[in-house]
Amino acid sequence: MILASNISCKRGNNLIFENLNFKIEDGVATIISGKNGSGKTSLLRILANLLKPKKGDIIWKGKSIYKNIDEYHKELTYIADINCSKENLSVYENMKFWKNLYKSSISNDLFLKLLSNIDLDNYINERVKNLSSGQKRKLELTRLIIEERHTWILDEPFLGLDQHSVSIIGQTISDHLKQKGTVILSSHIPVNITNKTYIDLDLHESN
Amino acid sequence: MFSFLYNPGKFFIAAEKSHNYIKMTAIYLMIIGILYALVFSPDDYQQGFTVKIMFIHVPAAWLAMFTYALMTIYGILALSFKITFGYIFIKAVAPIGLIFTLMCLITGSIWGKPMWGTWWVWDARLTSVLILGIFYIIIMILNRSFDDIENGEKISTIFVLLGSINLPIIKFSVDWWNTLHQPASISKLASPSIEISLLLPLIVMTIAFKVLFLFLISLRVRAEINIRKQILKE
Amino acid sequence: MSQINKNLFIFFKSILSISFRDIKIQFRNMSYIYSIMIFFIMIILIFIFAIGPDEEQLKVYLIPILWSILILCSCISINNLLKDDYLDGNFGIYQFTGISFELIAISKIFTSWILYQLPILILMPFIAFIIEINETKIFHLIITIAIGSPILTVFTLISSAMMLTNSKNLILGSIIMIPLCIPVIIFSIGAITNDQELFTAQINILLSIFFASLAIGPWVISGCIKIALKN
Repeated sequence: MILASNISCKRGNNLIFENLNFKIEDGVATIISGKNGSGKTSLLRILANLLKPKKGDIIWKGKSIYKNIDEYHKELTYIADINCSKENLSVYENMKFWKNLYKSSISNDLFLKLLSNIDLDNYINERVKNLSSGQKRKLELTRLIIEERHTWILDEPFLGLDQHSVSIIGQTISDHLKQKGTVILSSHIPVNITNKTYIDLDLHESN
Repeated sequence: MFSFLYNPGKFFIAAEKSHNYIKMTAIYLMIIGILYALVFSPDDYQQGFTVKIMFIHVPAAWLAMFTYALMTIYGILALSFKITFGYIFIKAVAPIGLIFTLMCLITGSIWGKPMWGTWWVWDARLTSVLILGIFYIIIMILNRSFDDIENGEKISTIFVLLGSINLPIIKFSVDWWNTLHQPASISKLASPSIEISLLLPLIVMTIAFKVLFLFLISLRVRAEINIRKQILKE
Repeated sequence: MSQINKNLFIFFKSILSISFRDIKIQFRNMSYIYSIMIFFIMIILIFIFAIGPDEEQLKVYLIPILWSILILCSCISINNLLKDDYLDGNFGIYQFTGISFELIAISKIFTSWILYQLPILILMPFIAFIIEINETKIFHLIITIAIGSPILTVFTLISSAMMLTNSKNLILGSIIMIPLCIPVIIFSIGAITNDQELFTAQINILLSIFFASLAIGPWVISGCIKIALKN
């Protein structure tokens, strides 16, 4: 469970949101909505400790995350709005790299299964630069399974995905929620997730 | 009691209160020092009247280095204790350091022309002071070339600390370089003893420069704090 | 005990995977490495044309020039070293792996040295062959470059990390780096051009700068990366 107390965010000279309080519970997907520029990405980056809030604190396991940052990092998977896969490597090499980097215990067979689930099994030795943007996004989302973390922070995960893939990812998220995982995501596309709550940033807009 | 040394608000008040005193002290000490140096102290029997340049040159050189030392101290405070005043101080003081360095170099070469016959020699001291000046310029550029002001301040503070490690090494290496490539006869500036009649005005001038330095700091830092307030208000 | 060893093994594997990936990406597209090598040779040519074919003069000037070009070659790769990883969010995901940025900085130093300095070091004997200096000097030149180029790599990475959030003033990286390199070039040139006794002394100083920069460098680099990440 993650508690945000009174966080405010400032980018440049604009105050984006002010005194935001919310609670993110295990087993429930928290969907952050709001119009463009309402600070969805900033809020997710604050939760992933990639941005310092101007004010306020985030509490996790009864403690401020800034006092327990290493433990907190080891719980997180953060998927940014940009793809971090390397263009010059093949799909398999990218996944292998993530597996080694995150000290994951996933076997190579599962890679194939994962890829066939999202229709990428024919592209396993293809360079990432030859994939379409939706395929790149799907490759990025395999990190959810590879990293084996408890808390998922997803920034626009469905960007450029077709309806079929969206439902598969929604299914994956639902499965993770059943195991008492935590999911925080921002999305414009309605998703079929069983357990969900909304945080509407438009209501908290300053000015 | 010493909180005005690291608290922007208290520094502002202290600087405003002491403004007039520091200004008047600097002016009086300057007048006394210059009169003493130019009129009442004797000419050197070898160097003649040109020795008088020393009274500006030496305090400027000391201050050029002292400024960097101060910046290092505030850099450590800023980065390790998260004292924002350190960033403000470094930003405000770097141009002052550059001015003193330039003063030192220019008076040095004015002195060098009649003594050595050239404006510039690649003497170890001259070269390392020039590099010190370059460091000040880089710090100023770094402060101004980032979109995010706080980022620029942090990066330039890191560079200040890097320089404080590196400048002694550079000084040492340039000394080494100089002794390898040139006969040591050129560094005449290091005279073993100094006549008391020349030393007294030098001390007065040094104190006068220090007070002038204080005055400049209080002006620049206050200006910087004001700019900061303006940015925060927007 | 074996459990600890296994954990250590996995940990190193996870760090080394970053290095191996960087090397792999560059090796897929060797043109950048070739370009640096060709750039190096081209500038030597330019200097030879500028000095003239007089052999005596060439013998005096070429070693200092080789070292200056080495610094220039390090400068041109400043904006390539860390910027890719910063822009596509890879530093973001390194943060969640539990590997500290100091270790990542060390792995970056390692890969950058292999990718951008080692080719020049390999090129060196051939260049020395062309310019015909005597054998001990070639030997000394290669030793100083072998010790000096890691120092240059550390400095390029420091300035590269400082320039992460700066996209408009690309020359600033070189401006930061060059003053830091002054001691390196003085002692390496000194070691080559002076006699044998001074050689060991200057190599010792160079080695001490090498170890000092390896100790301080990762720390500074990781600090700059963290500042850039929290932006």
